[in-house]
Amino acid sequence: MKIDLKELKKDQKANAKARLEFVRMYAKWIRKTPNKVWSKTLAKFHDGQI
Amino acid sequence: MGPCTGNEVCTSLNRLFLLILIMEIMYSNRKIILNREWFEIDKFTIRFLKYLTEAKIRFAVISGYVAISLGRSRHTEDVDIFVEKVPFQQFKYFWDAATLEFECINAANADDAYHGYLLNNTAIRFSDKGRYIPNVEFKFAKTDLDFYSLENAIDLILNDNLIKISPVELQIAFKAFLGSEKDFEDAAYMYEILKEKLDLELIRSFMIKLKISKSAIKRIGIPI
Repeated sequence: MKIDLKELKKDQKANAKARLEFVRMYAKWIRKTPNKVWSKTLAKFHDGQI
Repeated sequence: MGPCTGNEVCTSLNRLFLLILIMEIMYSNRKIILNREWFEIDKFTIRFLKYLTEAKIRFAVISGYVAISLGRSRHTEDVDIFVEKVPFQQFKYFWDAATLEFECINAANADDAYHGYLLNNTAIRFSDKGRYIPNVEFKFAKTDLDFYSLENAIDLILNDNLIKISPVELQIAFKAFLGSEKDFEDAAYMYEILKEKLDLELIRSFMIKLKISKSAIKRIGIPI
């Protein structure tokens, strides 16, 4: 198996950038969405893990 | 509403009006007011912090839980807190009360926790009895930045419950210092949520002290 570390590194960087972009977009959504709405969704998300 | 004339109630009202509305989070320099649905980890955290408050031990919640409480969508297994170093007797008072409801995962008793762990700069962890997660990671403040967090802790008022948290400006800078992808995402999230009310100069001064690169600052979204 041939692993192209250079290519993987490039993908890793692009993935990190995309994730940060998502976090910023998500924060913008939180800001414009009523607390009751976003927190209800998040409560399901968080509490599902416990 | 009519003009206020200087009595205590009016002063409080005026102060309230000075708070800036960011989404539905009210934020002034020293206080974040947030009303939202409960998460289980909120209730766990508040139940635990009650024992510190009762023992008159100062603390500051830091890191992931703060971002999560403000809406960040990621999981965490622990709630990190800095606690002021207190005499053993005061710690024992806290321990005796807290361990009626929680168990310490890694220390056997108050003496072991205090002398074997905390005084050696090792955290102790508390969870609900019989459960490892979530847990509170509890450590004594050690560095100047830890003491800054304690002395300048701000109030997060979550559904009328007070949670003392480390200043957001420091948390953003420190997340950049820690440097994992998760830390950058937390920093970017907290910055984006509260950016209008954050003290940019304070963030920059922490960034300089922590020798954060310009590219890292830019990644978080902070103007250089």
